[in-house]
Amino acid sequence: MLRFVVRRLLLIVLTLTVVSFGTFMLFFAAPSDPARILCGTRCQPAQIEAVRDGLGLDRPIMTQYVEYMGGIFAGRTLGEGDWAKDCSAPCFGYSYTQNQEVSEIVARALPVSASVAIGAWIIQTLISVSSGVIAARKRGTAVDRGTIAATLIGGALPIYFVGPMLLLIFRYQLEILPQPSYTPLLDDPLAFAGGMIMPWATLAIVGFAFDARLSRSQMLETLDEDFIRTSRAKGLKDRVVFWRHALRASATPLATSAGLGLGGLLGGAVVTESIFGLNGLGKLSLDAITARNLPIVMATVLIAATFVVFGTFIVDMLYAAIDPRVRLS
Amino acid sequence: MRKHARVAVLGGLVLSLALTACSTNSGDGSGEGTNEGTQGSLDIIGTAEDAKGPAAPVEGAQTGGTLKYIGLTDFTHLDPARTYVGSFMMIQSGLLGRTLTGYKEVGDGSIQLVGDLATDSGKDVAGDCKTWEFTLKDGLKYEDGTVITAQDVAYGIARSFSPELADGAQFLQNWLQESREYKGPYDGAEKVPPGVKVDGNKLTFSFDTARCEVPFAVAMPNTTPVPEAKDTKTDYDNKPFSSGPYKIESRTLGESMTLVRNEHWAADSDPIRHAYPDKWTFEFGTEPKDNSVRLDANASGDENLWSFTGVHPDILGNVTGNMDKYKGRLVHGEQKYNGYLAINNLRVKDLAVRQALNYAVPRDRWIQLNGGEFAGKPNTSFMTKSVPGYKEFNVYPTDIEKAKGLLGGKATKLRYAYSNDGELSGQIADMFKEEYAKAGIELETIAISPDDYYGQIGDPTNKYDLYWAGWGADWPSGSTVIPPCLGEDGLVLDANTGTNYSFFTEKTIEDEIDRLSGLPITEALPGWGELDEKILTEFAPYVPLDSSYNVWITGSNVGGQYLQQNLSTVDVTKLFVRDPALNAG
Repeated sequence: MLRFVVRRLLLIVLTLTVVSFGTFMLFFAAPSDPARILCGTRCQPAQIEAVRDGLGLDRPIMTQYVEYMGGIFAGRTLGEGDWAKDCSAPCFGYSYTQNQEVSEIVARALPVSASVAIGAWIIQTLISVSSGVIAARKRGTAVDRGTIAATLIGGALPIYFVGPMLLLIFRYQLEILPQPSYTPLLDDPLAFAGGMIMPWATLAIVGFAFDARLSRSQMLETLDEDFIRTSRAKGLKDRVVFWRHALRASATPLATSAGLGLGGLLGGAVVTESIFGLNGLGKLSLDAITARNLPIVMATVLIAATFVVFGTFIVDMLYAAIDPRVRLS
Repeated sequence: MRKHARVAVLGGLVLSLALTACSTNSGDGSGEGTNEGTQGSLDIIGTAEDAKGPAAPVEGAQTGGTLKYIGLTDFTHLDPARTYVGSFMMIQSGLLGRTLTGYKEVGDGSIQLVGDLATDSGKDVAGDCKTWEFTLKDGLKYEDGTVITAQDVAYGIARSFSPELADGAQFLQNWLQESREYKGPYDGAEKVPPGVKVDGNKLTFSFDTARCEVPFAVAMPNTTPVPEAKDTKTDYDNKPFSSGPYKIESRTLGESMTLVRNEHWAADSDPIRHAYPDKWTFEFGTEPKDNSVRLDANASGDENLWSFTGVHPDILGNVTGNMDKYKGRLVHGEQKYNGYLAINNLRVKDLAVRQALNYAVPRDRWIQLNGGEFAGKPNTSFMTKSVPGYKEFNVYPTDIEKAKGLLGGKATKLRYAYSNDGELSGQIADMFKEEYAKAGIELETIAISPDDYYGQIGDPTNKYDLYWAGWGADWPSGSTVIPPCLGEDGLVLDANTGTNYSFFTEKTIEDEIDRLSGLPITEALPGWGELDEKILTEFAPYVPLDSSYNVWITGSNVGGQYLQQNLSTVDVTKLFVRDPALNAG
């Protein structure tokens, strides 16, 4: 167990190093001058020079990379003389286009994306697993067929259709839902939920289909297995066989899918955040890529990579908890 | 997408125009601000009497309430030294800061340059345009109640010399010290910039050569006073210290901002600003199209919304096809920006070819593709109507046969470059190719990266013959249009600063530019229009296309909609809340 954890953690460090190095290099391989792009089209040469200095773009790439990574753990000073700025750890650099430290920007965007993704994920998982399992339980009935039809429709609709439709109907026409916005949960739980309900609903509608179908087919498959027949033959109640034995055996692939789904939701949030005007990580990284805002791109890529590798790690650990056949070795 | 590209290049420019007595720019309580191609007035410079406050009331205006702004991105620069985009300047100079001079609406739709902080629009001490004197009004105060001094104005200008903060206009700075050795008041340097003298509440500017347009140049935001003690350098952008009618109560960069009244601002010292609402809130992050859909829907709680973002092309037809429905919620009109095809004069040296390009230009199809008459109006000169001194002429009326005749049957192959920023740009390229083929001009179309578009077309060694560019006057004079785009002033010092995309210069034109530059403003203004015509007639160095038009929509509880031609956007100094009690929170 311990060996597994240590090995996986080392792999995580290696993965993140490769990702950070790759992203850093990509920007220097690109033909355009990041300083000039950041500075705008009508920028004085002196200003470009100032940006270049601030970003340290005139030094060797490896030095820049090492300084950047060092800043994340130990902080660093950006600029010189009257213009020096202290950037405390974790220092992801300074965004010249937004005129503030990258860590501040990311720290504000992160809870927005997390609220969208985690909320939608909980709703989506609850709906998909329960509807899939119930459909399996009521196989061949109207409930089963209705569930399948709903998954077909949900799975066919893109986010950029569902989001604006919800807005149009529930906000602009019926005027029964508030304008989507982010209010911190602890400030006002009601406003938080009210502002998030449309993004959550959008992602859940679009995303529940796959897991619902997976839960249904997984349950049906498990119900055909020998150990279920054995359990039944031993005289266990149908309810116990279904909910305790079959559901647990089906849970492993569901956990994988749901785990990856959370990652997908963080990625899918780009579109959702743009549609609802939420200033989250997805929108931030998209804007940064368009503007070639290197410090922001670096930070968001690193954060996204961290989520994905740790997400996978947690799913692996969960396997062992759910399925005794899986060994951590 | 052309609009987008246009914004990108014009982001740096600014100011312009005046409106004349025939303007329909109502800006009153009835709420429809329009400005249909009114011509700039030559009577632009106001007197000391005109500089007195308060500004004449907007008809039907109410005091109080909250106006709510929505838009995609935050105002990147609100530091007056760094502000140079129309909408940013509108927020900075309309709500937060005051400048030595500014533009005032006279009451009939025309504008006038008047003293804002200063008692008048400047005194040309010896009548030679080399020494200009400005005296500050009495009793001007900052948001904390301290007095605004001439020293603070000088310090504000000094800051704008610093390369780190020089994002704003640099006209005054370059005139004061051509060598630009002075790098701002930091690292132990002088607090007053070269060429400026402070004496009590008086500021004197001295120049080596005649600078007759100083009154316009000091209307730029970088004459906004900044007290040295409040200077937070690059962080000043995030929270400038207010000398205007509002101050920043809170701001989360990139997300939101709230402005509340600056209780120390005195309306009777201000001839320009009204300050009707009690509060302004700003929310950023909405995509332009979603923005327009939301404004159009005008749902409950959204009646106080407004935006600097024009109506999105996808729903523009719904709005313009049904103007009555939106009565009282619209601002629309012709802007100061032109669009033209720059001809690379370093490559296309044959005048006949350049003239043929003019005769054969498919101006109507260009406008149609870009969104029709509510996106642009045909323009056949370089200057646009609203610049005082504009002269209307059409020396090359569309005539394919004439173009063919000029080419004399010769095969003419040219390279047309365009920014690869979306489907529309490609469609436009195909359209030009198809239309110019009718005159016997074969176009090879080349897409270039939008990131580097202006860098490439501004490079004199570029290998293209024809490409789109646009321009807007920095202030209401041809001097900020002709010299930067068709004179040596705009020629490339390095690839980043050139604005003469046609790479056109002519000795005779340069002499005339010099002559006009030394004349008093009102004498020079009509001269620029004449020069505009002479350049196109004799040299055809570019192909004029259009002047831009825009339509904005607000919530139904917003009044005082007015297109401020000076910045070619919604005028914040006149907006008010019709029912202040509605959505006041």
